[in-house]
Amino acid sequence: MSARRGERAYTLLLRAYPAEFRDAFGHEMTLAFRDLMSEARTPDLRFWMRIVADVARSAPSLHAEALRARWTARHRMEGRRMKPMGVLAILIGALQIANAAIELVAGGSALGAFPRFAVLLAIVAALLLVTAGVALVRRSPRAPALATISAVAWLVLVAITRAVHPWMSIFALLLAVVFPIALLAFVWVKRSDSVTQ
Amino acid sequence: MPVTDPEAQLPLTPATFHILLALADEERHGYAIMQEVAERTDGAVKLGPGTLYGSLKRLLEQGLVEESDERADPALDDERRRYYRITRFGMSVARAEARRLEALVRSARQKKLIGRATA
Repeated sequence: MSARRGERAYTLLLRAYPAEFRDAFGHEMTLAFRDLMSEARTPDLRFWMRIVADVARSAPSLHAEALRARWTARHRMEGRRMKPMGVLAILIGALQIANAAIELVAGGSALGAFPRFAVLLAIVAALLLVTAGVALVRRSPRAPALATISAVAWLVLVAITRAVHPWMSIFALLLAVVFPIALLAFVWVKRSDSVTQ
Repeated sequence: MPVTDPEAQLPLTPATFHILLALADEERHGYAIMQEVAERTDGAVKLGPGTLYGSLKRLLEQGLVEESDERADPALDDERRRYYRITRFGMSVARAEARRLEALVRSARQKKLIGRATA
């Protein structure tokens, strides 16, 4: 086999390696292969068996390392995304607590028993959301579970609140429904990603 | 966080230790490392390009080896090649591995698996 054809065959073999590795070392490897070929003068079957065995031995572990590196980078990125989501949860929970307190004070003694109950439920839901937010910011391993519990509880409590306290503003309602759903979606996407990796 | 304890890197794979040994006295490019290892072991160890560069990638990531200037080797061709050199940390790891192997050989001698080394 001529040197040129040998090099072309080796370039094909290099495809067995991860793209990042090929980009970093492919050229150097081809140069080293060229030197090996000229050292062997007439590369025989044994020479090629050694080269193929070298690729078969080294490529799988490099693929495993590349996968592990990608997985780590992805989860580091998700970790970064957890913080803004947590801050948002804390802010919305705190706003909801303030809003409920204002309603409670403004309603005064005129507020009936059911609306008062609904406002108290909203405060409990908001406290749950703040707890989940803090867990997300601190990247606690319990954060996904807490976020799920608080989002589900939030949705259930909003449904109850809406039933007994019908004069909830559209904005408050949207915030109370859209954000918990977004939080649930965030946690589920994160979980399914971890499972498929 | 990078590992700074040489003992934490042990044991090294045979290929890794051979590469560090090849770079212990001078910086070399990939093919020169292959040649040095083959000569030093009387052809018993022949590193292929995949094994060599896979190990070099890990050694670079662990800070045991670093890239030197890229330059042409007139003995081979005019193609520019990347040269590698062992770092101070790499040297400490290689020494630690040599001590580990020495202790193993000493144990093997005590058990009379091998004879005394002759000068």
